[in-house]
Amino acid sequence: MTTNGSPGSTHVPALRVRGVSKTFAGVSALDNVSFDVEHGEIHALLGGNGSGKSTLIKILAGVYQADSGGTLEFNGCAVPAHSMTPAFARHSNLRFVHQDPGLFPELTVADNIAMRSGFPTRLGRIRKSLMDTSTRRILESFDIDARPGQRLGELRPADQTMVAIGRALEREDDELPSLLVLDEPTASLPEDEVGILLSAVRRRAEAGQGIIYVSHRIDEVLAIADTVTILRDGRHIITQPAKNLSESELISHIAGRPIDLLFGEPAKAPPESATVLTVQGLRGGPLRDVAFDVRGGEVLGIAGLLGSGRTELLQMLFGAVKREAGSIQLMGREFGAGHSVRTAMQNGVAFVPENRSFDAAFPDTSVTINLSMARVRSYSRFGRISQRREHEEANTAIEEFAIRPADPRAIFSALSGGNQQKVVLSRWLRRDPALLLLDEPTQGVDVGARADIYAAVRRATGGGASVVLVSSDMEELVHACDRVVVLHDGRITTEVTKEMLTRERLTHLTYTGKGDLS
Amino acid sequence: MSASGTVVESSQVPSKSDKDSFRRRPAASDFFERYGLLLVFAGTSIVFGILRPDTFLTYATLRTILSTQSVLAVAALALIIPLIGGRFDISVGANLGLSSLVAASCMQNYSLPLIAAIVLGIATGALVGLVNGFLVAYLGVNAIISTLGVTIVIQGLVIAYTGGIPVSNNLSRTLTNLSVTVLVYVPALFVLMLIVAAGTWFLLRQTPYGRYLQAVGSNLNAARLTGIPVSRIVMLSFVFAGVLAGVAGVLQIGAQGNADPQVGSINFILPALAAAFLGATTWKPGTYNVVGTLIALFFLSTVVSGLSLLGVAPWVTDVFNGAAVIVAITVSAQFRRRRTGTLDVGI
Repeated sequence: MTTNGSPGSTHVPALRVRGVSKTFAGVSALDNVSFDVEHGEIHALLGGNGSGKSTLIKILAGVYQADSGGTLEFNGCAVPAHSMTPAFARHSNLRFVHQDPGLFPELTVADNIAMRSGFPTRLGRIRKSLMDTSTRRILESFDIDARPGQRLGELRPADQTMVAIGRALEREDDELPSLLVLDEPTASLPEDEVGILLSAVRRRAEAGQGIIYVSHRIDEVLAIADTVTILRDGRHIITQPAKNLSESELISHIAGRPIDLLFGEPAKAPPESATVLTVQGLRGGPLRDVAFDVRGGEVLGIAGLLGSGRTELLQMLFGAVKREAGSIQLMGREFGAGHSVRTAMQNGVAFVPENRSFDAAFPDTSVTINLSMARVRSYSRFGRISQRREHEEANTAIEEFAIRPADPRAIFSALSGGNQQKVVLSRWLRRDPALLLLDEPTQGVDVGARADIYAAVRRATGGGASVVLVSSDMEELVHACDRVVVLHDGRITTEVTKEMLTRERLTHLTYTGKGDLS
Repeated sequence: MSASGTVVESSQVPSKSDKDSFRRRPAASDFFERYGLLLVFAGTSIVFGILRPDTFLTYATLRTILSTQSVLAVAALALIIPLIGGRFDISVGANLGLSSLVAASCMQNYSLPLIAAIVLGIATGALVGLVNGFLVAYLGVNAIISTLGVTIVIQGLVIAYTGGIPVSNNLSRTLTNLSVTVLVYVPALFVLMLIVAAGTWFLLRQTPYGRYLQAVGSNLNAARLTGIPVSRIVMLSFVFAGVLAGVAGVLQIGAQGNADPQVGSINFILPALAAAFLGATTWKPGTYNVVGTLIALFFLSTVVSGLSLLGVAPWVTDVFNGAAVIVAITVSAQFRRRRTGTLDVGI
């Protein structure tokens, strides 16, 4: 049931894609792509930024019309791919849950569901009891542990995503939709919640639901998918059962080249170097008496769940959030009470925040401006910016980080996520920071860009910079860090050295908050 | 939920291999977007020239437009500085009126020399800008509401001080003759305006301050986390606007020959407002820019003067300027969507 569709020769797949192409202004985004998705199958759709997978999904949703020639077949019902419309997608019972699922944490669970299905009314007045009944039905059928009147924000993150999935799949007649498309459903979930969501998705598939699952997380795909389809540069590369594929095979198919050093080359001998950062008794927000140190050239990982205080810790080091107590010493210099973003930057601290679009992007300005924003003054002489020098350095950064498009005048918001992240990282590396704070630097970034980002980070540590890296991807922490400390409920509960770093150990320590395995 | 959910992958961007395909759109439409307003400007001038060859296409008409609109041009420049930082200073008009009254009163009531009057007039503008900036940047008040409040207060004080009567006695001849002074066929007011415009352009395009202001307007959070002193940048944008309003106020005495309490009403400042927004649709489409603002202002005033030569009723001017504001904002929102791919709900 889980791995095999029904074998017979006349079987009808949930989705059949045949020869679908799409060009934008003469540029091919999708080139003659064909594959099938069976009923009851979790079909992973993989590819780097710009591989065409989002284009394909938008064609399925009817948002884009494909070039003529291709065919889409939903549960046996064929349409030319160029005449797909949102109405037809809905009529064919395709359901989509996007990466940003459009939930309202301030509203109740019932409101969130009715926001999509419509509010039942009588004489213009909302019929609350009816709403609660239908909400309860959805919550039950999806095993979501919540009450209709509960504020959505109170639910654990995986359940919030399940509410989004539940409301997308809801049908009056209780039949299964022909196909469910999940676009990066776990992108903003902490690791412990990912498992909960995956098993819920698994149960839907076992009930016969065909699912297209889009994700950047390789481990997650291998854990859940029955079949894997990989796109690269708009072309179909493979469709194969997941059990026949290893992690490194997947990565090389996605990237189009083997990536041996996905997380950069580890530092040669960091333990010898001197301590650069010393944190003692740090308090504030969720943090309670946090103490650790970082040596020159070292990458220190911080493992912690959402709400463990990991983001606040970085913000406090950067002076963006005030601390209540404790001392922060960088290269023997104490950051006093007047510690601010400015003083932190003056002392060589750089910070790549987690939420790029909120905290790092200047979306309507050029790549050049985005690159130079953290050190504008260094380009100015007698109060005037040398735009020639700025431009030259932008070109250097574009080359060094393989930023695409390779156009310094390109508008930042037109770049893909991975390229935007490279720009933000490059902005800070340009300052030659002594201490680089990275908060989820590769979230939503494809494997190729991730390799570029870690290569750049390792170049910086090779030059003596220290890095504090927060990530919810345990794999990333294991490979990218020289040492990891675990933050649990605002306290550092343990430290794991390089030779002891394994994914299982980190996961265990992070969730339990225990001192060590035993 | 909030994490990185919003931007991530913009799928219109094709594969990474083909660099050249990233030229955002064909050169022709780029050209029309950048210079479209200039073409329309030329077109309307030709139409008016054909309809009224004797009166419209004359040096006198050109000189009138250049000298009478220069004050408004400076006011439009004052408007775009806070606009780049994402804030709107409604009080520029009232501030202009107040500054011109202060400068004129210095000469009429206190017999101060011209230089002192100019300095005090501009300082008044700067002080009002400082109040605006403090309210917005340090007390967190909505810019439109707070500058609206300041506008009403100024208008009240102006009426209290003048009783509604223009200040016109004992003014410096050098200043009041400015409207008829000509330097090699070019009106002096226009030359002064160009000097102010060059300074504003330098501030906005060539200095770190201009870059920081752009960052603040683009993403306040990101600017803060990049070590930019956002409150100071925003406050200074209002101070600069105030200084330019003060300069415009002094020039207004030159243009009109006196300081009139009527100056500073919404109708007076409306063309400058329209020019600021219309200017963002040309030259550097999608951004408030000095050259575009000047093109837009002189385009609007040319149309208004052409219409009046055709003999249309005076109310047409107000309707035209009001409509121009709306059209300009709509068009610039569309350009913005083409640049960034999103069209926000207005605030």
